[in-house]
Amino acid sequence: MNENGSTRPTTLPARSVATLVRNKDVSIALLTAVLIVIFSVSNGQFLSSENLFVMLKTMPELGLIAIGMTLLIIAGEFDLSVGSTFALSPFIMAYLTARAGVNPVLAFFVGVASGVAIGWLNGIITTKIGIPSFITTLGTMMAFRGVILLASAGFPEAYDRGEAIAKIFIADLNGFPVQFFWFVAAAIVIWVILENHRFGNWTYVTGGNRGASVSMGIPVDRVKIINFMIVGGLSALAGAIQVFRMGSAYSNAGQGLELSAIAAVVIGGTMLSGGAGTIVGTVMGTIILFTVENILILSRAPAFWFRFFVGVIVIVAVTAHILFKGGKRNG
Amino acid sequence: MADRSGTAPVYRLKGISKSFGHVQALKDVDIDVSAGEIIGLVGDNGAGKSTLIKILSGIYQPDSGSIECEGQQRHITSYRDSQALGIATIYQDRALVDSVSIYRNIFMGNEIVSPLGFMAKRRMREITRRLLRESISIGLSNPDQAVGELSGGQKQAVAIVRAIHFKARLLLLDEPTNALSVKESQQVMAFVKGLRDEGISSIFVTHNLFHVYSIADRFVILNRGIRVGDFRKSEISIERLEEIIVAGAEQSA
Repeated sequence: MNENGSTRPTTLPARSVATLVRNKDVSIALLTAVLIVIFSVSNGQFLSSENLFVMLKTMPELGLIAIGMTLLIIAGEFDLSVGSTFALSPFIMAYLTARAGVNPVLAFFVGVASGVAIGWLNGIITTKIGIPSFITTLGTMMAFRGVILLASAGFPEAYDRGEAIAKIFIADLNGFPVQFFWFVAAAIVIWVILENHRFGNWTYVTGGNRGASVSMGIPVDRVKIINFMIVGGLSALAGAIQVFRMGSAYSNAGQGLELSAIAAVVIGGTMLSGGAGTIVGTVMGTIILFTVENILILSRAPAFWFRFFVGVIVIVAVTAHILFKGGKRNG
Repeated sequence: MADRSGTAPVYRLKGISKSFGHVQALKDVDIDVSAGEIIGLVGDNGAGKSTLIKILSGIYQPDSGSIECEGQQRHITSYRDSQALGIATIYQDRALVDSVSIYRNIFMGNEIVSPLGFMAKRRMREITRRLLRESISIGLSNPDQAVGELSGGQKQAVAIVRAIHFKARLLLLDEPTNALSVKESQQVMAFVKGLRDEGISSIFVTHNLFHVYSIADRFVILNRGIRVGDFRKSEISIERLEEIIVAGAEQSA
């Protein structure tokens, strides 16, 4: 081993290739690339600019939630209420903007704050009462879906897509949807936190071994609560972006989104047992879900095939991750 | 090898008693720990060994008695208090996180960070590499290796390395050789023995008299919460040690 100040262990080229393939981030990126090549060869429309635009425009809504979910799953918890937050928070924003005459920017921040507050509530109930987060967020998922159905009476709340705040999130930059930048920006920020910030290390160790983390003085409850709040905020942001895109807040928006988000996270190699996982994997998992859905639509396959394929991909991907297990998970 | 057990005790437990309901787990137990001394805490099941360890690590508070550290009376009411006094408990399963790397484990909760909380990963890796090199007996060198890939003995060694790096002076080793192979047990014991020269003391709790006899400088024998013996190694044979433990157990049976 080379000792003279190099930050990384020096390895032979052959070994580093093997290490690379064993690295989850690299293997999932390779898999994604292979899928994209297959899809573009099998269908000429796949790489057309219109099709790419549609994919990149819709992907951030699931992707933002999946990024937050990755953090939370690494910390050892789940959030099933993201789909309800995705509907309720932007509904609050749309209601305040359209009916109460609140400044649209302020209304946007109130909407996102309401998502953060739902996350805080999930975190408090889970850590302080000690209910498994699966149950806590199953409860809040249903409760907040009920709230929005009551408040909206099932009717959509209109939103003016011309608002300046909407433009910031959904503008078209020469055929490139700006919301995709927000998705990438969020992924980079969370990635940097996980890799380089103390809070990221606390998130990994809290999910990996709670007892050990407590005995080293890490405030595990606070770590979990903050991660719940991040997921809530990102879900609210994702919901707002959909409202900006569609011009209405629907009471049934985001139904089933929690499972799609968990699927994207799992396909990306994050283990539900906590303590391990990567953002790069989740971004790739999101891309895989969207490209598969897209190719099925382009092939005019009946919609139910999508669910079938997602199910198969989840199982195949996790099997592959287990087979390739090893290598470094984070560093 | 320097014999420092003649110097004044660093940690001094006086008259420690603890009961749970009607069960007297410890009664008026005195133990002195000198710098660089390895104490074998022995006794049959229910002798009070674990209770004593838990009092030192802040999990239980004694009903009466006092704990002194370097001549000053101290209260240990939490794990953090215990750590602040330089006491580190090395648990088998509760110490490390399998899913992250060695250096992230070493620095968990004590990360070297910038004012904004960003980790100085290069420095943390360098320090980890040095710590691993200095404890050469465990055969590790890569700070990025996941702890889950290590053997049981290596994990314990990493936990001990971490404790010492953060200024532990007394290691509490509760059945450290349980579930370890013979070779790994030897490695862990050799490692603990090596720390004696740095003035680091250990309290070694085990059922395995052969393990503890080969490593300890002194033996404290507990029976039903009472200290029934305190011998230097030169004063007692392993057979006699076993007799006292067994006799004590029979007496109280």
